[in-house]
This record gives sequence, structure tokens and C-alpha cells, in this order.
Amino acid sequence: MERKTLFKGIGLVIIIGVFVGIYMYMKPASTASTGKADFKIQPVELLSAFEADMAESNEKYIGKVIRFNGTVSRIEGDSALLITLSKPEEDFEAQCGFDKSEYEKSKNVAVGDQVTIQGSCDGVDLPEEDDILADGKYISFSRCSIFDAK
Amino acid sequence: MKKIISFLALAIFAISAFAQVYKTSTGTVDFISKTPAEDIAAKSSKVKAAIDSKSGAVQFAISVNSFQFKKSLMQKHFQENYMETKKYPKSTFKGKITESTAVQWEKDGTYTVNVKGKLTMHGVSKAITIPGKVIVKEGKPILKATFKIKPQDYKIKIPASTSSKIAKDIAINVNCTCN
Repeated sequence: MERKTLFKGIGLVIIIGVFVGIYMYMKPASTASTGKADFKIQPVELLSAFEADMAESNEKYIGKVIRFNGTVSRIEGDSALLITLSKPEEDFEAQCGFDKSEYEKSKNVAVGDQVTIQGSCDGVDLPEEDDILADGKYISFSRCSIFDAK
Repeated sequence: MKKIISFLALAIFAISAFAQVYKTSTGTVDFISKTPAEDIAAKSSKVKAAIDSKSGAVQFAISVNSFQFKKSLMQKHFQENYMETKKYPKSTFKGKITESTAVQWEKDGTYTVNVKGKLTMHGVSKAITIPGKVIVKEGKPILKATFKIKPQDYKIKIPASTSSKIAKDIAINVNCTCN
């Protein structure tokens, strides 16, 4: 009787393990950072941190979910949006990439709106020599989600 | 003399009118690894690209973190184990069109080009020539290219346990509409 119970128990553990494994393997990747933020920090403060110590900041912030706010200065794209927040006097932009799954929620945002955004930190772009790409400093975020807009 | 000066001024104006740097921050790059065991694909829609119509210089920059996979576990392995994104957050390409007169920037059309340059990913830079197309449409260039790379060339370590699921050659597609 005890042996039968033991086998049943082992069988149950194996079945649960298989299901957990399948779930973990099949779990879809998140396209929007809707959960709890790892850090609440403004883009300009993040930029300062990266400029002060690039390696340490890469380790600390890249891939982490950051919540911040700002004014929308530019909107690009018609399905996967790129919303840019900027403060002209600081000569840098925060570029926020939205997956097309977030399009319906983010399409009503307009230039000049105050928004609170949460996104996964990509890191910074600083202009290099012979660089025709960058004309300023950028910090960018992927899998963004709008938390508040007005 | 006056006529020569006028002609030169007009020529300089004409050249400078068409010489400009076209850019985008919303280009796409996707890649696919095909094996009998599994197809693994991901896409970034946040590719920065620029092309200088005067010099033929071409640049791309991708935040590795921006690659979106279908499965969460694949994305995690790609970011943490293979690309080591926290250590090497950007992949870049800097090059030049080898046939500088191949593209007529003011005329709509599809122009086949080769771009010779340096591809940097996972902290490794390699010289590479990428065959591609510049499609000029309504005065704006669309940059398209399809090419293959080998992960081992960029010191991307694939564990033996997953090597059968990851192709030796990864196919990369680039599609960037510049303004």
C-alpha cells in the first residue's frame, strides 16, 4: 500500500514537472512592460549614470523595466510606434519603442502630451567620430507601455 | 568667365541639393535560424540606419535588447547566454557602397549595391561585404539586404546541448525606410 502511494506520488511529481517544463518552454515572450518596474528613474538621470560608468550601468539597467515620464516630442511609425520624449535644453532624447500589440493603447497619444511610460532599457547611444547616425545623445527603451497620458 | 563661375555655382548647388544624409530610427532587422529540430526567429523594429548620398557611407545600429522573440525562454537565452547583452548592448555596421555612382538618388528605381564595411556584434568586429538594394521611392531611399553570418565568427558560444537547434548560418534581413 505504501509502495503504491509512493509510486503515485512520484508519478504526480513527474507529470507536474513535465507540465511546468512545457509551460516554461512555450510561454510567449512579453511584448509590453506592464508588470512592476525594477526602477523608477528619469531618462536624464539614467543618461548621467551611463555617462559616469558605462559598464556598471549596462549591467545594472539593460533589460530592466524602467518607469519614467516626459513630454512627447515626436511620433514615428504606423504600427510599431516610436515615441520620443525630449527636453531641448538637454540635447538628448529618450526613444520609446512600442510593439504593434500596444498600438491601440498608444495611438491616441499626441505630440505635447505628458506621459508616464514603462519600458525595458536598451542602453544609450552617444555620438562617435565619423558617426552619421547620431546627432545627439539617446537613451532607448523597448517593449514600452503607456501608464498615464494627459 | 562669368559664365564659368555661374556654371560652377549651379553645379555645386545641384550636387549639394541631392547630397544628404537619410536616416531612420524605425528600421527593421529580423533573423532566422533554421534547423530540422526548430526554427528560431526574432525581429527588432528599432533599428537606426543612415545613408549619405554624397559619400555612400552607410551605418546601422541595433540595441540587442530590442529583439523580440515569440517564446520567452528563447529571448532570455539569446539575451543572457548567447549575446551577453549587458556586456555588448549594441550591434553596429559601418560601411560604404562600393559603387558610389550606382544609385541615382533623384530618380525612382531599384539599385543593386554592395556595401563593404565592418560588422560589430558580441564585441567582435569583422570585415564584411553585404549585397543589398537601395530602392529610391518618392525621393526617399529604402535599404534592403539579406545575408548570412556564422555565430562562431563573432565568438557567440552555443552550448553542446542546444547546438543541434541552432543553425551554423543565421539568415539576416534588413529593411529600413529612410527620410
